[in-house]
Amino acid sequence: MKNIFFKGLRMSALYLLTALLLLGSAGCGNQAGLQARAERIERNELVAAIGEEPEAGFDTATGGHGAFTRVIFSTLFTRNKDLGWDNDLAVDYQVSADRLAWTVKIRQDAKFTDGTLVTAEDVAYTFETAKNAGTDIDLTMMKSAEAVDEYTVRFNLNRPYSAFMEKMAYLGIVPKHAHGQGFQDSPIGSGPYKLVQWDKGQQVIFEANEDYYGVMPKIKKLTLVFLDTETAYLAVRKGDVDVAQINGVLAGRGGVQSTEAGTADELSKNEKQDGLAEGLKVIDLDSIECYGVCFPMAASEGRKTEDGVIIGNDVTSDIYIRKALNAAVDRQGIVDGIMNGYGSVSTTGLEKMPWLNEKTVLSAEEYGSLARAKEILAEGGWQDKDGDGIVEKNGKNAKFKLLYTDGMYRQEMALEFAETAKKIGIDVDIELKNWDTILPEIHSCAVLYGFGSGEPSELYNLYYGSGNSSIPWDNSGYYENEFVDECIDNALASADEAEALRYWQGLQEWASARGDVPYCWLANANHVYLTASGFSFGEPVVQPHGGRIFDNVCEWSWN
Amino acid sequence: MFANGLGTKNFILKKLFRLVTLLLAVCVLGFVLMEASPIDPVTAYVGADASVSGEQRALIAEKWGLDKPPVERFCAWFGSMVQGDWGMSVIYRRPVLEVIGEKFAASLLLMAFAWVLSGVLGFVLGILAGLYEGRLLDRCVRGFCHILMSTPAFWLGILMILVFAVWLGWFPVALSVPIGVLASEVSLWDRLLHLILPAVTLGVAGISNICMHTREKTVEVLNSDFVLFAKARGETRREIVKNHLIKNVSLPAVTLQFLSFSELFGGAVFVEQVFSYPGLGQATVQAGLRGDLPLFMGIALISVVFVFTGNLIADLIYRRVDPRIG
Repeated sequence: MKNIFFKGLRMSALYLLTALLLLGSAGCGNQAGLQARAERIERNELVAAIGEEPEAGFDTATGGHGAFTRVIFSTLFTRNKDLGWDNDLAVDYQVSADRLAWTVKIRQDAKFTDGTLVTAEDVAYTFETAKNAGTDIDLTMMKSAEAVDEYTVRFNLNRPYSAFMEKMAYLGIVPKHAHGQGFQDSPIGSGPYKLVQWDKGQQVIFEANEDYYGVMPKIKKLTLVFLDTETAYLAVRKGDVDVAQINGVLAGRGGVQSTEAGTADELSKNEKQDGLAEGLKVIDLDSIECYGVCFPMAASEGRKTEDGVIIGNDVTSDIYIRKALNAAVDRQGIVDGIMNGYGSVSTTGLEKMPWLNEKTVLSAEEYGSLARAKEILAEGGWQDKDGDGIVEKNGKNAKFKLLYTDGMYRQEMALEFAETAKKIGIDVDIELKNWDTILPEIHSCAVLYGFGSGEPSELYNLYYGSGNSSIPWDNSGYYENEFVDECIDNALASADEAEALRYWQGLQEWASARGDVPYCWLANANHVYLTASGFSFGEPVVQPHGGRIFDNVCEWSWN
Repeated sequence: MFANGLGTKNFILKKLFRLVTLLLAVCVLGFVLMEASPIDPVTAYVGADASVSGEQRALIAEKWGLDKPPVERFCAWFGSMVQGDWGMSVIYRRPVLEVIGEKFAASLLLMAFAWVLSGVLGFVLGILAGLYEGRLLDRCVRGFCHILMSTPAFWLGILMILVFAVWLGWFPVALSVPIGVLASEVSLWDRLLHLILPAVTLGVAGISNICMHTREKTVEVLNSDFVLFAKARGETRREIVKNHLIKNVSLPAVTLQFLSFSELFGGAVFVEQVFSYPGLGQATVQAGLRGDLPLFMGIALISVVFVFTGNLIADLIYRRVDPRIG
């Protein structure tokens, strides 16, 4: 959201900047900055420009701030490297037979940074406060949270909800006794770091928490600065900042070619140095930041939502159109051409997730083929009889609109999609919208989305049809399949994620390119960082939208 | 002078009355505009975060009082605003006045520096260009101004960072304080060093306006009858500049400079963005884009007062310098 305003102008500026940098990168020394970096390495300190500032402060109970939670707070559970669950504060949990009560035992040696022990009382308080705060933390499925004894807490749900684990991995636990006015500015947590100073709008300084119950962080002082991407890039070059989150365009200067996306343990493969100033490298992390085109699935029969938004599209509701597009789009071309190789092909939107149904993945031969796509169109009765280059069926031209919003790579992808469509005789108009102006057409036009929460419950948002939720971009294509809905109902009503897994995987039989083709998934955009060459992230997990880069902050190190 | 003093008092009173009516109008208009904008504050707040259900969204709207009719909300907001409670910022979850106070202080320093810089530099360059009309110096200055006019401020900012911070290493890249240093160890010199680059960027971006106007006026004055007369009397070029030119040219320049408060404000938005300078500009954009009504209205009111003050000062200086106006 932050930079939406400037994006258009910025992209052109970015290319100019890149050109200038290439011209000027030779022979301009800045010793002071590099000297300062050397001193930081000596003292195990790090300056990083990662993530956006949580402007509202660091109170986890009154608002989520995504990845930052992990730096100063503990949660009950945490996603491990295989995207399964590990205990954080929790040591054990039980789900009642009726699946409405989750009982969690917590460890007895965790301390807040003010020296007090973390108790069940604090956990219950955090959840109750968050529920009533009316913020972006959605705890509507929770009826109440109560401390059973000093180290046991019970969550009572109002409906079975197997994805409750995700909530328990999201909320940082705050101390009940110290939670009040001003907590957001000087938070007290039980995580690996404690907050020392927050210069609003600029930086936060953290110091390692010596009392931390987990693995001690290797970086002893962590400063996070909040900079524009371009500015951050320059700051790393100067030596003021050691790690910055950048993008494929900036990283791609110097002609870095695409490499195979590797898993975390092959990380060295993903570190690229060519074309960069000495002492810097690019780290390229796999992500589930997935872009895809959502098709309106229903025919337009004059159906409307309560707000009067028209539902359905007569072209995209034809499965042959959707199949043909899925077969035509050259995903590898998108990864190489648009993302400069900093990405990976996606045909399911779920690559690398444990809940992916492997059978639904398209092989490299099954996409990027215009010939195959044309065959599919012909099979479906779409032919270009009037010779205008656009196929038609029953007198109707294959023409529809694709809406996209501002954001990295999005315009380029929409263009590429439309270009490819044109080659097989489908006329796709693209149109830039924002998340408010998109609403009147969201159910009757194709929409380019970026998804990837890294949680299985996202499948609900993507494909749940019956009793369509009040959020327009949840299943905006009005995909309806009773089998899929049944699977989702069963998955959410399961005792936990392990039990839910087969339902999550099962529904993909229909909700995939092999089934009803509700989407044309395109590519995952990797998370790209420019860092000083001695720095290592350790082994980070696959990065979801918004990032889990701080999940393993304790492993970050200089080597 | 005394008779004039009484006139000035009336003049200021009249202006103040106008300010109050203007503020009232801004309150109503601002609220109506925010209401009419397609941005839904709840959507803007949770973003496209799919994990927030419709049920939770309704809860958020209720917490913020968004479920009430607009007129009722306006009255509630206006009532407490008049009593000094400007509401809570949705983005910062802090009282609006506190947010504005923090940000405005930082912006003010930045803008003051830039303002003086663009004024002095623009004025001097303008006079020089006018004096050497048509010559190389004039062409250079004009070229410089035209380039600056067509350069977006954020691009100029990135360029400044690249040259003066990265290549030459004279200044820090961004922020208003040194990175990773505790507040107790930050010296005044550190703060100044961080201020220079953004202030110069903002200042330089504002030079062309005043420079071009001053140049025009200079040419006009030099071609006037009284300068011709002065020349005939045998005054040297230096004397003409000192006795006639500067006085005549400074009046419009000063006015223009005070009137430029609004542009300064606009330029600051971009410059603060690039330098991650924690000022009001950035907050303004955020408040607008994310439908933070209390903060947006607060900033609108404050900036009206700010720009109004600039104009008032310009008027007062006019009256002072040129007795014919009154």
